[in-house]
This record gives sequence, structure tokens and C-alpha cells, in this order.
Amino acid sequence: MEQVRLPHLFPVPEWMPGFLVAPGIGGFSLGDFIALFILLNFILGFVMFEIWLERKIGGHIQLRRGPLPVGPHGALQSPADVLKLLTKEDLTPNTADKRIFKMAPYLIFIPVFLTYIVIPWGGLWPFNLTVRPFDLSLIYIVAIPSIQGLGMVVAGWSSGNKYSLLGAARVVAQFISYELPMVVTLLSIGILAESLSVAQAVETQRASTWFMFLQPVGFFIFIITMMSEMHRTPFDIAVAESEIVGGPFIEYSGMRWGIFFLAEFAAVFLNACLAVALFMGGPELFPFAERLPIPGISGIPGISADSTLLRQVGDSMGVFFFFGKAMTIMVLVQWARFALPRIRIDQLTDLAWKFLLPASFANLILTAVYQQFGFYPFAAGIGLVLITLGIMAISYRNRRPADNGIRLVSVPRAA
Amino acid sequence: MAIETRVRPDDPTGPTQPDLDPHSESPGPKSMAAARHTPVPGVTVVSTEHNLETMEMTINMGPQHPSTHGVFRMVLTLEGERVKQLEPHIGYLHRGAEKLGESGDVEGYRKAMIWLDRTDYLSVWPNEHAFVLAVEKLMGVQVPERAEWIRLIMDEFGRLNSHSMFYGAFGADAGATTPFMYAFALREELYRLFEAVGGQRMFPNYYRIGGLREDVPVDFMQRATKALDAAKYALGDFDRLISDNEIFLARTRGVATLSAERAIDLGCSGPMLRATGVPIDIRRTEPYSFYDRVDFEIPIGTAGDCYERYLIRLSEMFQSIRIIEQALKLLPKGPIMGNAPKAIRPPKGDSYQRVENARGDFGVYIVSDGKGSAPYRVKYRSPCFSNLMALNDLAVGAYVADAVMGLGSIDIVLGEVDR
Repeated sequence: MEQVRLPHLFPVPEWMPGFLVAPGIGGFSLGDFIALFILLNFILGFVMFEIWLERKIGGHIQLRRGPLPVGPHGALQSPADVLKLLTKEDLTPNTADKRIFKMAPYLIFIPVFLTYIVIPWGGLWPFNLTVRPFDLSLIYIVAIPSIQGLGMVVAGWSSGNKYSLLGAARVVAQFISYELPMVVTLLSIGILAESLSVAQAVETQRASTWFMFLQPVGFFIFIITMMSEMHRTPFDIAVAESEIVGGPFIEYSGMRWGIFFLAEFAAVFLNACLAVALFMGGPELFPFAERLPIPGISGIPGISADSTLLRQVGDSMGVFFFFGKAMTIMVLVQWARFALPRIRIDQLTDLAWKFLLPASFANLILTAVYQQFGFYPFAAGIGLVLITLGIMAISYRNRRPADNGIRLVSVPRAA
Repeated sequence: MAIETRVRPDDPTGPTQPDLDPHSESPGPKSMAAARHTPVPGVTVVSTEHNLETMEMTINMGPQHPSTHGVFRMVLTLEGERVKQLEPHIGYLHRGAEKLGESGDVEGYRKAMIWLDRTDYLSVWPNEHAFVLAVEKLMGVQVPERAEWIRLIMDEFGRLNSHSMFYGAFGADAGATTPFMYAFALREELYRLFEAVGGQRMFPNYYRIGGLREDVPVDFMQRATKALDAAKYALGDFDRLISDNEIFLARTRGVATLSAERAIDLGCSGPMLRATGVPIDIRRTEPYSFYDRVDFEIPIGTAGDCYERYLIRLSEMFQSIRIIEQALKLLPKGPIMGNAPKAIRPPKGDSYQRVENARGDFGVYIVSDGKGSAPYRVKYRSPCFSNLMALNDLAVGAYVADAVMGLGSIDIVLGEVDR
């Protein structure tokens, strides 16, 4: 795993002691481990904030106010919940496969955490906050989170409960359906970036423009598939409360149950981060930062003086912009949870196989055309794809037939 | 363990019948593959390649399940995600409301009404209405106009309340949590009105044989108008929230359909029946109270699917608002209690009164022996129970998720089914 050089990011400061950056176990330096430790704690803290935010957003959408009593505006509700979960009894059903049952929560959380290490957070002057932007990280972000699906299947199977088993079966169907369009979409990103590295994708977007403008279809597919991978509404069939009452998590209690939710919310933010890194320019402030003729300022060590001011700001405080964008996506996902009903399993797989997968392949081919032949064949192709997508959307769309629906009749008053 | 895989049980009509003689070859499989292909006595190996056959799974949905709307229990036999067989179990909430209604020693008729309230806790007002009308019919009591108009108004408010509960629960069945909260915001307004009128939010026990317990509060008009405004506002929200939502349409349209013939055969009534296109509404076909003096229309459907049941209930809420507005204008002044005697002792005989409550055709049958102060026999005709008969037609062959939607679209109240 060779580390990709990020030319715009700051080099390691000179005053940093050497033993922190010297390669150690498995190529990871002591600094890397410190970074991992900080990252883990950050994720745990951020998830608490995220849960609070979701509950607040949900509350205000639903004519409620969300959590209030614990802390100002209920801000300490999540720590209080964690304390409660820690003190609850950790039940293991008699029918469960005990070792696997106890292992499953970690099998779900650890892959999510491991995927965080490739996120190019961007710079915070004079530091570079990317933990490990290695090559093939595009493959890594597909491969490692898939273990999470395995974890859910294992949780469902080992619980010894029929509902959780149904949930596990649904997880399998969902993962198989949605991994494919996602991988094909990521391949288009790989083609555009001419690399299989997330960090290189960010670099390419710096040089050209954000991929969400070059890849609107890909962006759309990525958002849909990531929501499905996280089992968020409207794709939460695996944990459907009103049908299979929580699915794989039904038998879990206490902190093990909490770890599932920790993993779910961590995955939401992770996928939002991936969407930002791959499609929204990563830590960049503005999509056309280089084009705006605002002269930059010089004299700050580590920041190149010949770029524009917007780019300099984006480089030196990129992590804030990264977070802002990621939280926008995150709130979008949370919003969908409170706005939409749940899709049925056959409709879910229909959507994946009959719509998203062909669309992602078309997108891949077009991307290759664009990369090889330039803009004009690409534009013609885009027109074709739009027409195809339109036809597919119309055929997919479940329109209200004219004869279906109600009518009002006046029944004469009986004598 | 839930799902097991096993070889297909012995099928005499099957094409292959392997040699079942245990001595034909030595037992003791050498490997897993060999074990898999070793004939088991009494079991037919269908094919050496695909001899693993999935088994049907029997799953117990309820009585504690979020989408069974109370303590209803379905034993589902699933083939994958599809429901192959459905066995409903009721009776978890049986309290003997009818028998208890016969047991009051003093003022037994009023006590029977208290038990009636507890059966269908969402559609209390029309049910009380049916009871008092039945007794009044038996006794020949005249009810003052004002009392009857107030009853009509409260019946319609009760329908609004019940249908908004349906709206929220149906949305929750479909997986949307927000409709539930919107429905409860409206129900809160309505319950405030109920509290002001009847003194109690859920079980007002407000109607009396011969009239009403007491007159409505002096600011009834303002309160009712406020509740109506809230209902109009909320209904707009209800409609915009999920009626045209693509996912909701995909989840409800063409799901759990019922034909008109089948619905009539099963004795369905209310929105369940009207969704199939049969314009039967007791308020029109056998008008009671003053329903023949107000204008309203009956929404009917064509396909008889979940979506039409939902739309019909939504549309009925608009019609209820229309009825209440007319009734508020026509509400006269005057007494609220008729010539009913203090001690209710109807003459010997029986009477039956049916009303259109939120779920359909609700009937009260009362037999009086002419002696006691309590009815000799009370029987309630429960629309929920009859509508629930359609569950097998709605759910068998559908996905689990659709079975949940089908059950939700019946809009059952288990208190009334079990009584």
C-alpha cells in the first residue's frame, strides 16, 4: 500500500519528532496509530452528535421538538442514552449461537471504522488530516464495508429468531443488489481520476471540477446505493419496524444493540464523507476556485502563493469545508428518513437491477467515451443516456391509472 | 432454529424412488458430499444436484407486534417472503363487553353503554349513538332536535378522529413515521373538543337515552369551529404528505385487492366495502338521526385496493367536515333531554339499530324482558370482525410487507373484534 502524495497538502512539519513518522508495524508509524486513536474517539463523539441532530431534525419535521430535558436543547441526550445502554443487561437468547451472536456487533462496527482511514479530510494548516490515502482505496472502500453486510447476516442468523432471520435474508438480497451499481459507479470515478485512489480522485477534481457535475447520474446512483447499503429509509427493509420488528437486531440488548446503532450512524457519516470526497471535490471550498480571479496572499509557509485566495482558504482549512459538505449530505439522508415510506423488497431489487445497474453501466461507458474522445461525443452520449433514462423512468414510474381512484357519488336519501 | 434446509419429504407421485434398503450399501458416509447424497429412509432425493430444498417457515406475527394494531395474532406460513397461508387468532382482548352490559343491577342500560365505549375506543361517539337510538326505539322516546343535532356533530367529529388514527397507523405500516405525528396533532385538537363537550377525552359516555347528559359548553361553536379549522389544515397536510408519494403509491396501489362480490359475501362494510365500488353507507341507505337533512356524498372506489381504502377514508374526512359545517348552522336552541323516564325500563321486546361508524356498519341489538333495569340481552354487530374476515383474501399470496399493509387497511380495533 504505497501512500499517494497529495501535492497540495502540507508536508509534515519540521518540528515533528522523527519517531512519530518513522514507518513501524506494517508500515504504520506511531503517528498513524495516534491518528487512528484520535479518529476512533472522534467518530464515537461525532456519532453521538449525529444521533442528537437526527432526533432534533426528526422532531421538528414531525411537529415535535425532539429531545429537550438533558442538557441545553437535549444536547446531552446521547451520552445519557449510552450510559443507560451500558447499564442494561446484556441478554443472550438460549437459542442463539452464542459466540457468533456476541461477535456480530463488532463485525459491523470495525469495517466502518476501518474505512474511515482512507477519507481525505483535507488540510488544517499546518497539518494534513488524512490518515492513510493509499492506492487502491477505491477498491478498499467497497471491499471493507461489505464485511458489514456479513455482520448483519451473522447477527440475524445467530439470534435464533425468525424475524431476525428474515431480516438477514433481506440484507443479503439488498447487499447483492446494491453493491453492483455502486462498484460500477466507482469504476467511472476511477476512469475519470485515472487512478483507483480516493485521494487521487480529490486531486483530479481539484484540477478539473467536481465530479458531481461531470457525473450527475453517477452521483445520483451513489447516493441511492449508499442509502441502501446503510439500510436507511426508504431502503430499511432489513430492519423494517412494522414488518420484522428490527430484523437482525431484534434479540440484542444493552450496549451490543448500541454498537449496531453506533455503526449505522457512523456508516451514514462515512458514506456522506465518501460522497464528498468522490463527487463534491473533497475539502475544496468552491468548484471553480481556480477560475475566480481573486489574488492569493503570500508569505504563509506551506501555502503556495500563486493560487487564488479561495483555493488557499480551501487548502488551509479544507477540513471544515469537507465537514460542511459531508453534513449536508448527512442531513439529506436524515431528512429522507422522516419524509418517505418504506419500499418493498421486490421493488427494491427491481430498482437496483432494472434501473440502477443499466444506468450505472451506461454511465461507465459514457465516462470512458469522455475520457478517451473528449467532450462532444460525450455530450451526444449524454443526450442518449438522458433519453434512455427518461424512458426507463417513465416505464418504472408507477403512475396512477385513470380508472384507479375514488369518485364521489350522491346516493339519494332514502325515504 | 428458524429456517432449516432438508430434503423434500417422501412424495409417492415423485419421479424417482430410490432404493431404501438400508443393507444395500454400507452406512457411514465418507464425506459431507457423500452424506448429502446418501438416501435417507422415508425421504425422496429429488435430484443429486439440487436436493437441498427450502422449507416453509411458520412465523408468529403478534399478539405483540407493532403492525397488528393491538393484540391480533397472525400465524403466517411463509415461502421466502411470500405468505402462503394465514391463520388469524383473535380473542386476546375479550372482556365479555356484551355480557357485562347485561349485568348492571341499577341503571343497567347506562352501564352497558360504558362497556360499549371500551370496545371500539376510536369510534366511541357513533357507537353510543347506536345504543341510545336502539333503546329509544324500544321505549318510543322522543329526542329533542338540539340533542339529535349535537349527537350528529359529535358522531362526525368521532369519525374524523378515527380516520386520522387510521391515517397515522397506515403510514406507520408503510414505514413512514411522520404521518403518525401529524395524525396525533389533529387528534389532540379533537380530543380537546371531546373533553370540553363530554368531560372525558376517550370515553365520553355523553349520550343519554332520551337526549344528552348535559348541554354543550357555551363556547361550543368557537371550539367546534376551531377543531374544524384544525381538521381542514391537517387534512391538507395529510394529503400532501403521502397521497402522491411514489413509494406510497407503489406500496398501496393494486395491493391487497378485494372484489365487490367477495366483499359482500364476507359481510364487509364501511370503507372496505365502498372501496370495491359498492355505494352503501348506512347514513344514506337507512338514515338515522338527521343524516337525511344534510348534504354529503359517498366516496367509492373501483379497484378495492389499499390505496382506495386510504383515499376513501381521507375523502370521508372532508365529507365529515362538510356535514359538521351544515349541522353547526342548523343547530337549534332548546332542551337537550326528552321525555325519557328517570329509571330506564323498556317494555318487553327487542330492537336493532345500525349506524355507520368509522369502520362500517355497526349494529346494536337489545332484548328487554320488561322487568329488570338492565337489558336482557345485548349484541353488537361488529364491522371490524366482519371486515377482518377478508384478511385471508387480502394477504395470502402477497409479500409479508403487503400482508401488513392489507391488515392496516382494514383498520381494525381489536377491542371491538374481541369485545
